[in-house]
Amino acid sequence: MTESKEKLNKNKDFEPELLVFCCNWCSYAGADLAGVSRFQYPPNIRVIRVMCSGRVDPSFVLKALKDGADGVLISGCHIGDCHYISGNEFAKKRFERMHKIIIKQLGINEKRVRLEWVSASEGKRFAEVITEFTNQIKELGPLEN
Amino acid sequence: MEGAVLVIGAGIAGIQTSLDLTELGFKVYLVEKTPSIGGRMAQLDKTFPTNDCSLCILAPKMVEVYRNPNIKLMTYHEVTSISGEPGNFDVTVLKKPRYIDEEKCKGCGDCATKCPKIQVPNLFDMNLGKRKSVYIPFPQAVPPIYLIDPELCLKLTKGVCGVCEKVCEAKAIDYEQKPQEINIKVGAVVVATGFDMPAGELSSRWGYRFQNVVSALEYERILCASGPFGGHVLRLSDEEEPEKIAFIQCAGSRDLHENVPYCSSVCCMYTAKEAIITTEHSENTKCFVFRHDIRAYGKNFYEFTQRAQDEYGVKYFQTKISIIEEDPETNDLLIHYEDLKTGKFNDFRANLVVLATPLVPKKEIRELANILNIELDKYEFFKEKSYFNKSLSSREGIFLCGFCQGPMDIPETVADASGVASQVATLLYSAKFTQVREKEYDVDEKEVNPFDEPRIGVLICHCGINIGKYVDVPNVRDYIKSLPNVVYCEDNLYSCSSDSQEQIKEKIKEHNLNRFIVASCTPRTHEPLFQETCQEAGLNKYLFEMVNIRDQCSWVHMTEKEAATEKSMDLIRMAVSKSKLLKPQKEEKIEVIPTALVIGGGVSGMTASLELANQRFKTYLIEKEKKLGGNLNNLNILYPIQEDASIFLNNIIDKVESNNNIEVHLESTIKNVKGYIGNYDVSIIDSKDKLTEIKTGAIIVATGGQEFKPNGLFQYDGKNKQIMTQLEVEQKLQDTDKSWLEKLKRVTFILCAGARQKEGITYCSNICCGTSIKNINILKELNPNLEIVVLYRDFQMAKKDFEEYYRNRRKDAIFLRYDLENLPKVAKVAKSPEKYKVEVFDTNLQDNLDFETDLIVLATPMVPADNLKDLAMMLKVPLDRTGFFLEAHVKLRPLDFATDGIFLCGVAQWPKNIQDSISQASGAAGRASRFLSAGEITTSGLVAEVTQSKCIGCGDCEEVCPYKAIELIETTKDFEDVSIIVKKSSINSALCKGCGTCAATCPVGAISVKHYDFDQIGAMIDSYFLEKVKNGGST
Amino acid sequence: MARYKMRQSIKKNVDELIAHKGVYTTITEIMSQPYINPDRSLEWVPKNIKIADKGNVLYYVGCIPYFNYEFDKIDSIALSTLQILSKIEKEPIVVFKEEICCGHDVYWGQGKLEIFIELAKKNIKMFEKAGISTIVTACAECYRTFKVDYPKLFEDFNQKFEVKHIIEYIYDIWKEGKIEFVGKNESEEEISFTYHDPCRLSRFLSDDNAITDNTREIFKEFQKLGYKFTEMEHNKSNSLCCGVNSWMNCNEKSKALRYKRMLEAKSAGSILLTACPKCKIHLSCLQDDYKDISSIEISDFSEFLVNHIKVIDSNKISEVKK
Repeated sequence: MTESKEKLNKNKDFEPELLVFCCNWCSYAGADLAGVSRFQYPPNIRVIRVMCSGRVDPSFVLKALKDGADGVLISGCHIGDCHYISGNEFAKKRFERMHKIIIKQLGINEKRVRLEWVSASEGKRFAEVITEFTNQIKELGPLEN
Repeated sequence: MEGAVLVIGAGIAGIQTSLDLTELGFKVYLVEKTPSIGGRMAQLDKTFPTNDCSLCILAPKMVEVYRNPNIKLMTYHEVTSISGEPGNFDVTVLKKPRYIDEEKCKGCGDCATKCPKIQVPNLFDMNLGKRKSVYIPFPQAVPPIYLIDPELCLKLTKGVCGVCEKVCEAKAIDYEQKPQEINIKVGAVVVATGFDMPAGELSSRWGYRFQNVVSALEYERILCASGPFGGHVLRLSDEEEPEKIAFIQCAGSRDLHENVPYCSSVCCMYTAKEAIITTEHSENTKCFVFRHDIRAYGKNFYEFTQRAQDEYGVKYFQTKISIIEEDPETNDLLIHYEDLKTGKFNDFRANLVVLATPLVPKKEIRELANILNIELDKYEFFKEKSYFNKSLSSREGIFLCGFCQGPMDIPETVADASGVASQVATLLYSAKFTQVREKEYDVDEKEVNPFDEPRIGVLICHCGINIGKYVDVPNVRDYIKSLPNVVYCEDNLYSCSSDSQEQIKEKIKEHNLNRFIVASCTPRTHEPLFQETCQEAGLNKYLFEMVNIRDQCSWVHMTEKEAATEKSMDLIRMAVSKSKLLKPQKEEKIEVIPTALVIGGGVSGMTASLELANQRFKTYLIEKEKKLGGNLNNLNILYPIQEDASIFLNNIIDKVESNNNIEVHLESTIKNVKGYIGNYDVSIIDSKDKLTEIKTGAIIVATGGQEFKPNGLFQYDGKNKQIMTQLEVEQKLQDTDKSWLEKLKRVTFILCAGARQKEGITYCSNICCGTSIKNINILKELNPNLEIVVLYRDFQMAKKDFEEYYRNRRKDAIFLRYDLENLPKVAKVAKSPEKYKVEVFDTNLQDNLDFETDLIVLATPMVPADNLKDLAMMLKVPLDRTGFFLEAHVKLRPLDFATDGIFLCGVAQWPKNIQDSISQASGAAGRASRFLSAGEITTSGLVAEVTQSKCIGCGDCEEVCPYKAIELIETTKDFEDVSIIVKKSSINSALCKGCGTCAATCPVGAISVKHYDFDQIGAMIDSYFLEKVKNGGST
Repeated sequence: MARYKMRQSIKKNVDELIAHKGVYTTITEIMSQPYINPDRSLEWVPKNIKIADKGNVLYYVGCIPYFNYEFDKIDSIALSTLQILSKIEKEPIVVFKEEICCGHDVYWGQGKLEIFIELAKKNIKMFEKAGISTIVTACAECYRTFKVDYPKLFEDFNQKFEVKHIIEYIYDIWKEGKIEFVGKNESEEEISFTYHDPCRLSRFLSDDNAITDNTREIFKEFQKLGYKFTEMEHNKSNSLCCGVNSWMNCNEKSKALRYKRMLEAKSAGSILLTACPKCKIHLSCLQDDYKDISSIEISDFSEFLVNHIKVIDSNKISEVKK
């Protein structure tokens, strides 16, 4: 078997380990709605609830990557909807900087670290985002490749 | 006197009043006819003008109501009778049978899953979606309790089936339930029953009978991500995405034939919102709005309708609709209309039509009015006792709140609700805090030190079969039991049931547990319950941690039991790791000085002061002028009641000056403000530079506004006697000598003078149209031969009585409509005596007109008062782009600043008329008096904290804190041979809301957020990746 | 290790002492993984300078590109150093897109020896693969790590690679007569400047390392150009610390020390040179806090030198190289 084929097969069975940070007020509520509505999505994520996406420290993301996460998703209220007025805007700024200066320069595919906005009424979207994110990481293969 | 209040209707109005009332010290019976609270706002997709997700901002309030120990939630109940008098009413409430025991139902939904009877239209989705005969109105319903529709249930109608009873593990189904009468005693009643939007009652020309014509509320459900089409914009006939959507405004409102003579007041805005959201949803859909006047009544609303056009490409037509017909082949709609800009009749083909149907009083309003013995007005809304206080009904002790009294949008409703709460508090002043209970714990809290060995208890819930069927709970239990520090781990059927609470308490004692974890459903609804249980067992509630294995495992991985089981193990293990690091937290009490300071002595400031003083709070009222009254001093008649302004003004000034609790400081301004909520030190300075120091617990900003002087515009220069502003004319009309009027032949009013521009003042000031109509009428009455010409753009008359006021006075003048592209021109035609000519392109007649005029009156917008920047800086509160003060949240916190302890009302927030100013002022007083009544503030345990030794004083945290809770404190420190100024960040826990943005911003990790600390979250991350289940369970 | 042990004895959790919430040390740990191949930004490399991925002379940039996450104006150290090297060397300078950390901070700050060894192995493999013979760096910490610590683990490291700080590099070339210092101070008055010895370029080096004296010799030459070098009260191996190294947390004590250092600098000259990016970051950071020291211009050695170097005869140099 050639190396690339081997890799391909490996990726097919690969179950990524993904970490998701959800803000309490919108995205966690969106995840709850996905549950209540029984929207199915891949079981590869583990959610950590924080009060605001603005709480998500870049060091959390780096720690997860160091520990072996294949992907990290941060999800907050849509811009303008923040329960804490502007926390998500700071999250966005910080995230963009981290993405460009740290994640990219470390040679880690930027798709592995993602920022999304999911509102409390977007249960379906939460399921879709998670499905899509999981599939994307499956395609990329393990970080330890 | 009873210290309890009955609130009828649990939409946003009822919710807000109830929450405020409990904080003011009253027990609330919240009666709601339908099975869930939330009302209309819960049905909305998003809210204008910020396009906030409606449920995102409402749901936390709904949960707050549900969890509030002083609100007795009575959903699916109706009021049947009331007797007694203010302070002592006896009320009978009918509890309708749900056929499900509220105490036992856990909201798991097994009954609905198995119920065979489907295909019933869901009322919450405006009958567009489907539900079963046992159902919950919508997923986020509060209370989360199911009910059976007795007309559809096979068991109740035919005595067959009974499946739900068999599947309900909680044994909550009770087919034998009967209606039940409940008697309660209250001191006051608040009616907040809201509105209906019955499109079916419109005349046939609007075409509502056609499949692809929907009402705006139905369309709201179509747009909503949790609506019948999952947020996809589809039309009903073929479930295809429409290419062209026509939004028809004033579809029935302002229409005598439809029996809705008033303006519904919110349609211009929600139409713009729906059009914008549609454009965002699908690129292929084009939106067309058929409008009449644009009446965007609210803060920055007009700009929102402009953005719809400029940024989202929504096309607006100024039209009159003749009839809407259907093309039977395509189910498209043909709209026949008159284009008011060209005067021509046209046809427009749309794939979907959305009707901005009128918002009308509830059908049952007459019945309720009879029960309550209160009057209705001519539109069948509840009638207010006085124009100046729309919260009072015709019967003392019964208050009106929200849309049941007249059209208003959400922020107005919320402000109104707070105002009603304040007035109730005044009425029932002596019974405050007599019937509310604060949770008291009889077990002493046990001491838990950071170095104590963690002894963790874990309870894993089956949630009937909701978790148990899709997650191998026993396996998870055995795995978790094997983890270090887990001393106790069991599973049970319903962790939330009351016997489970007893079990938790026993186990905590039996095993001497110092941490507890429940793995079940969502902490958003259930965490407070378990926290309370822990606290009852003497375990600090912050030593509790919750894991959601239902919404995140069983319900979303229903076909992957192994994976769902492994995920549950991971999530609980992560919580175990975190819980080891949890620390007990204290909720501190901060004393509140029970006095208030009101800045600004206009009608808003005076009303707020009176409200506070009548609740027995010492109030300082600061006015910069020599006399109280503000702008009211310049007005002559108040519309639409046509009452002399000076009568009203003198009356209220008398009340203020004779009130012993109010201390008025004239010719005074704020010099300095120090402190925070509950404890402000304010220095005020008067015209003689005398300083006065005031200690106060709350501050209300009511600084008002002023008329814009349009120098250079339309030849205005402030001196010219032929060209004046409205206020200048009003002042002139106050002169006893009115002979100048007799010489006038023609007067021209130019509306929107300097307002609603592309640049500069872009907003609509909301009140100038009404003022113009009033002044036209006064002039005409004084000089009936006077010819009056009005140049206008749109008529902004969006209040209950205003449309009629306007309609009745249209005959007083000639109305010419101009647009922004063709501004009227004013030119001098004769020097002496001075004479002016006006040139205008009338869009109604499509013609250029020019005529001479003896007087030009400019209706200019309101602008903020002078020198607000300094005040804003001192108070640490923001101004918005237009220079008015910026509230905490435009929708749900219109009277609060983000900084707790400071409130705003009146024109300081936005131009508004006297009625709205009064309503807001009562509201602001209500908001402020919540803190003053309680006498203390309890801080949350979940706040941020600075590790002083680590802080480097960079100030980044101060910059990002949205609540201004962070301050840098400077001290000089000596180090051997140098001494330096050291800055240290300090967080005021009374102001901190625990969002943690500061912690993530701090470059050196000096800030920790309690319960969401770096170490705690770090432990969860490590636990997931580094301590992964290694064949520990079923995997 | 001794320091690490010491810290461990004081505080249970050594990570508590790591500044910037461990962002930079975590980056380093991630880089030590065999599967991580950084893709560093080379935006700071000017278009007119050609760089290579194979060759003799490596410019080892260090962690400057990651520092951009929180600190501005750090790029220019790398830019100046590369400009100097490219001016002198005929062949394009090697700059690795996939460069990883030398490991200094995890070694000194956290005592994570295994990670340090992983990084060293990865680095050596990278150097060998690219055919490097000379490693030049403008970072004092990288220099000390390569010069002193790597050879302790890998005995032949010194035989394989010649490690030079940019100061040493310039000094040697100058002594070989290949460059001269040019560019007179344009103002009429003499400009006085001083130099802050980074700890890793002074007391943390072996006694026979002449870099402190060589630095002074270069500075003396600048007298001709209208720049007067003045020593601070504490200098060379007795130099005061910038307050922090290895991303340890800074606090008011370290600030006081740094403040004292800045006062010394202020009385010595209007320009303060140093030769360690972190010294520059920390000294500049203090200027935001205290106005009385904000007038001092803080510059890296390379940033200062870049406009003052002229190559004497490039043909001759290339001949010598051959």
